[in-house]
Amino acid sequence: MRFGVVVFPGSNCEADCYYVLRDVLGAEVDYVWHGESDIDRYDCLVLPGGFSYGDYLRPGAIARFSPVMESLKGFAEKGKFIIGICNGFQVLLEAGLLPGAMLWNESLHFVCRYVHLRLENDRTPWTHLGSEGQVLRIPIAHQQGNYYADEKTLRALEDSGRIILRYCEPSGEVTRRANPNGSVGNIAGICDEDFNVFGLMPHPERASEEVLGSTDGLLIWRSIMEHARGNG
Amino acid sequence: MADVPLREGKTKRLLPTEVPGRINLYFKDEVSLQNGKSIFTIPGKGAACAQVSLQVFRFLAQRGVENHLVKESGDRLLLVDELEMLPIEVVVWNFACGSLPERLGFEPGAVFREPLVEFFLKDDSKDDPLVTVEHLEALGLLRREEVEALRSRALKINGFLRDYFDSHGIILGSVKLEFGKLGDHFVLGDEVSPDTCLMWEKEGGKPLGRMAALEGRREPEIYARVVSLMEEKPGKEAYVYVRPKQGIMDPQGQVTMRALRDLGFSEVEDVRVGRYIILRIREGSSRERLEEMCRRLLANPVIEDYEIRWDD
Repeated sequence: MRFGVVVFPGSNCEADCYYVLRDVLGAEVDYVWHGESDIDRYDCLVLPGGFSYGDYLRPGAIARFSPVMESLKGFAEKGKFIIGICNGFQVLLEAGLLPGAMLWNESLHFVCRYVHLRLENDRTPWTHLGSEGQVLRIPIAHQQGNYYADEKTLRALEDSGRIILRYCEPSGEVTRRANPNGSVGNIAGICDEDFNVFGLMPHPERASEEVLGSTDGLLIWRSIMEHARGNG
Repeated sequence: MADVPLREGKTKRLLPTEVPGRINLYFKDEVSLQNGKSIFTIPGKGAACAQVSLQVFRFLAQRGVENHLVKESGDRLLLVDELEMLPIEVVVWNFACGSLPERLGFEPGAVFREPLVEFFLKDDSKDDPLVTVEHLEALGLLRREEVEALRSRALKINGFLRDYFDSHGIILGSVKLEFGKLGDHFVLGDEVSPDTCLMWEKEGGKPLGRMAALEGRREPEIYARVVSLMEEKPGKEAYVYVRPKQGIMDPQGQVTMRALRDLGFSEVEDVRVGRYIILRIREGSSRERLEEMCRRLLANPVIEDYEIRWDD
């Protein structure tokens, strides 16, 4: 499985993703400049965190018109995989590859800390190595991660199992108190209808080595790599 | 000595300057039709052509088309790099006009699928004959690949000019280009003006410049009109208000409201914080275009409403 880590002007987590995929997991990975539109050689594209285009106008609003984004739609339709992390998630929302939008955190603060996440669906390419109800500890770092979707969209997400991660207590209980940003339904990560496109606010690449304090993020990387090998 | 021309053509004088490799182009008021068989004067024509050329060369330089312009150096005077000019005119036609219908039988106004490119040899004694790639090779003027390179460059320039003139309300029928060598490569030289382009006013379809002169018009207005159309008019401001949709959580508004109340402004019932965007819009746009700008970029319809204030 070949990964491409997309680099927008203002991305700042691309090196972390690249490092984890290549050095921790031994995957094949390249950087993909946002101006590229030929992405056929990749099986999975990673839209990393950061501040693409300075977050001007709205996070992700400008980045989504990059040539690479024009190619992404066809890419997903071919059954290939896309994961958007933090700013990458915001870009996917702006591009309409995932439903909903991001509001400012309820506190208006930039929140940078570990959170607990309840795994809501373990039957996806991204999570099949985990089990439903499992609690992951992965950091977040954002100011606009307050996920919003209208009720109809929410119900559709819920009914089709497309809510993948919710902010929770260490015990796994989904409470108002465990919600770091005010997102509706404590949503931290969602998938598209085919589960090929995954967007999440937490940073799995920052929780992929013991020395960093958590390896819970590996679950996502390993799941998708195993899935590509035909397992799960 | 500066006013003794290095060379004098039918419509321009080439004047020396103190700077090596630089000359001044002086634009005369003479109009030359039928390869110099009919020459007459239109007051202001030289100044108009100098002004339009200046604007066009600057525009083309911005688009990456290398040309000889250095700067404006006086009334109807352009300072340019001295080129070793090719004795060739490259003409690009967007539709049948000028000499084309008579020469080749096209219906006047017939639009071509792709613009036509023609090469002419500059030689009044032979009436500037049309030449082929083979002629140019055999005459030792250009190699085949150089002809092809000039052809594609001319087409590219024509594309830029068509859009540029169109945005100023001018239809471009054809353009005549001349190139010269600067060091080891060709750059665009001569002039690009109402005297080397065949053009019409979009509104009303009236011929302009040389095209009007070809139809027998002689009044200064036919050249002056191009200058006024080409004037860069400042656009009109449009105001776009983007705000959180009713019922959407607005943390900025809530916090701001609390702060106002803490300051004693207890009468504040609600605060919503949005964005206010000021755009300057060129003439010829529409409210529909503004709506599209809002839908596609300025607002996110999932969470935001927008309002446009613009008198169109």
